[in-house]
Amino acid sequence: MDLAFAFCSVVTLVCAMMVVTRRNPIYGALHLMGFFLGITGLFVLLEAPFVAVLQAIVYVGAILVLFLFVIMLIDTEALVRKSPRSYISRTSSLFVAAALFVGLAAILLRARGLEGGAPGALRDPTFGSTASLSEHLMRGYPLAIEAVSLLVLAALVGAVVVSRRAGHWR
Amino acid sequence: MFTITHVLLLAALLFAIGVYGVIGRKNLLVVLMSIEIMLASVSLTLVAFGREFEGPSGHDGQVLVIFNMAVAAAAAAVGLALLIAFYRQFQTLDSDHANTMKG
Repeated sequence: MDLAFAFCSVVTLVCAMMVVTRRNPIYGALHLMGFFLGITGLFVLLEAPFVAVLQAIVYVGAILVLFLFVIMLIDTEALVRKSPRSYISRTSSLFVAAALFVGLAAILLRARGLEGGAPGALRDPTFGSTASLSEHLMRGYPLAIEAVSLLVLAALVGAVVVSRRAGHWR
Repeated sequence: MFTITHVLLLAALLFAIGVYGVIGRKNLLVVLMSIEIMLASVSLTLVAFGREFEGPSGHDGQVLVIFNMAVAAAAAAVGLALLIAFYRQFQTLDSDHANTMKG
């Protein structure tokens, strides 16, 4: 369990660093896949199997493929050769990110009620199962589900409208 | 055994990496990918808290993650559409070229 957690954390951290540091977005997208799969493993370790499967399907299966389609539409290699600098300001952004992490870590390490030790056995053996999770979702959040479906519809229409050629159809 | 603090520290580190990508990189594709990294690290935090405070409403964390995924997918779709429009306009993905409104 510990070994699996260490493995998944190292995979996610290394892949996330590769995503933000590689010049060519193709390598970034491929490392993003490793990142999402590492997150999936962490979800499994945290007893969220349904969310883990959803993460694999939605992120690796849909969002990542969308990224790869866009990369294929755009000649990224030529763009990388064209732009000499790919960072706005490496040191200042590194400083901001490091300060943010130190702040978050300080809050986490001082938080009360989190030093409960290792996660013990689950009190509820059905916790995280598809049946109990979907019951909770459908019973507790019907309005939110409708709102999200509206949001996704709006995003669908918006994406088509924004990305069409100018004057293609009015 | 790993504790919730380890998971939360990992999520904080991933979020910081995502922030670094968003504010430091010029390539808009990398910026969008960094946003996805930040969203995924927030999902990790939610699942960890749901696991820790399992109880009558213990599933709320995982339910929030499901909504987070829907919003992330919508954001990625609209963001990539904007990126394609940007590329058609400027023939580049460099955010420095987005200065048409500059006075």
